[in-house]
Amino acid sequence: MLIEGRVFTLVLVIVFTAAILYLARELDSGKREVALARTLVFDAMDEAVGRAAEMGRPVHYTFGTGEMDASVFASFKILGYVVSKCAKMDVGMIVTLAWAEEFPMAEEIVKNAWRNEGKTDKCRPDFVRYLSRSFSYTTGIFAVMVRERPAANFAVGPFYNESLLIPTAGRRVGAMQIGGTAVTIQVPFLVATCDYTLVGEDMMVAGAYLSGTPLEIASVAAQDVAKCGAIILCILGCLLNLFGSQAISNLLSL
Amino acid sequence: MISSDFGVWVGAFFTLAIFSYLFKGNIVFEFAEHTFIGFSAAHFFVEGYHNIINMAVRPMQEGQVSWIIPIILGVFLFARYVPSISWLSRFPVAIMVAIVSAAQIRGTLHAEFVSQIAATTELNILELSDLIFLIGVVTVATYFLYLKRLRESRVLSATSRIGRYFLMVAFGASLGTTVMGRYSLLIGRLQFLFGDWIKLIK
Repeated sequence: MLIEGRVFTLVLVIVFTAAILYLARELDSGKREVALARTLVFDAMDEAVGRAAEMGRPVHYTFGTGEMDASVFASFKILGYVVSKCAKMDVGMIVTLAWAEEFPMAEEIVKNAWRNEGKTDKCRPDFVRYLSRSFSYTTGIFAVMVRERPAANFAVGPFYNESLLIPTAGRRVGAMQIGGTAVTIQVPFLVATCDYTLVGEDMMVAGAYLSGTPLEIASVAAQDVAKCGAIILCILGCLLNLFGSQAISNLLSL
Repeated sequence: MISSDFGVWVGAFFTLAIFSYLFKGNIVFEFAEHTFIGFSAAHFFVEGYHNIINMAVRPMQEGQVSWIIPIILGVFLFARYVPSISWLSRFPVAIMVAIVSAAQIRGTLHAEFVSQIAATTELNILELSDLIFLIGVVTVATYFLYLKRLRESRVLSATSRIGRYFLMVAFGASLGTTVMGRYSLLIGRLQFLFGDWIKLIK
């Protein structure tokens, strides 16, 4: 019944899931403590919103044109954090979207944040805007930058050819910029144009760090263990390869 | 001789209108922007309509009644505009999130984890390029460790610093390639303006 070439991945999924659930339970009950390293980007998020409050200008947040994937969900977490800061400090938000499917979630997050601060009346319907896909999305963001001159620009999500253009537009209006993407080929453009960048997995970890839920922290911890395992397998595999053994490669292709 | 083709004129007008942003925000740019977004939204509306007809309504007419489920879920999305039943809109969102997550787990784990390790194990580390590759893979992997205890370890913090240099080299190479690509896009637009439109160049 098992498909050849997928067995190892299946075992990995089962082991990962079990490890995450076990660790989450341990963290939840307080039996174990896991601390995640705090990076400068988290402080920069607070600074960006604070800067917008001082300047009396809005914060712009966008997700990119990529399809909905894990990085979009991580970005929703970061949006939740940023918008809650904005609601606390009475800073206006502009959330621009390329996918209509993201609209209900983004709107819910924004509304909830303002509701939690008891400022429902200050949450405007135009905080979340759908600009449609392709270059009309990028053009729409250019217009937001020119007309509303946000003090901070968050570009966190699956970006493609717009990855260089959006932060460039933000730079023109002097916005403090925080970028992040898991699309490997687009990372350099965000690194080159943003003040701070979440590279690849940084985004997922940022989501876990900001929410602080045991399940997400357990997931990051399990991934770190898996990465250590991967490093060992890589080195061991190369050494065995020297002696003509394909044991690791064969194991992975089970 | 300047082009007499109406389509080329429209293209040239919108190209210049978008370029006018480089000077500053202006009404011509705004016109182009709104037109662009309007056309794009209309395009995706029509695409969405055809998707519903071709992927749900037609199969239902052919007897595959299970397609009623995604249609109902889609209608639920609009419940958010009726406060008394707005909670219904959470179901399609929750299902969407669950399906996306489930669909991606195997693909991502296999393509971005297992396959990458398998490819790395095939390196011949007696060759310098392969050895550098292995060092790059290992040190970059240590850069992406997030547990405080691991980050603060002396060995891993040293390897992660080396990993950061590898990342910077890779980013630099990628950026250079794309900048070249963007120049070719600009050249394409200029060729359109000076070739197809005002015909200064052939």
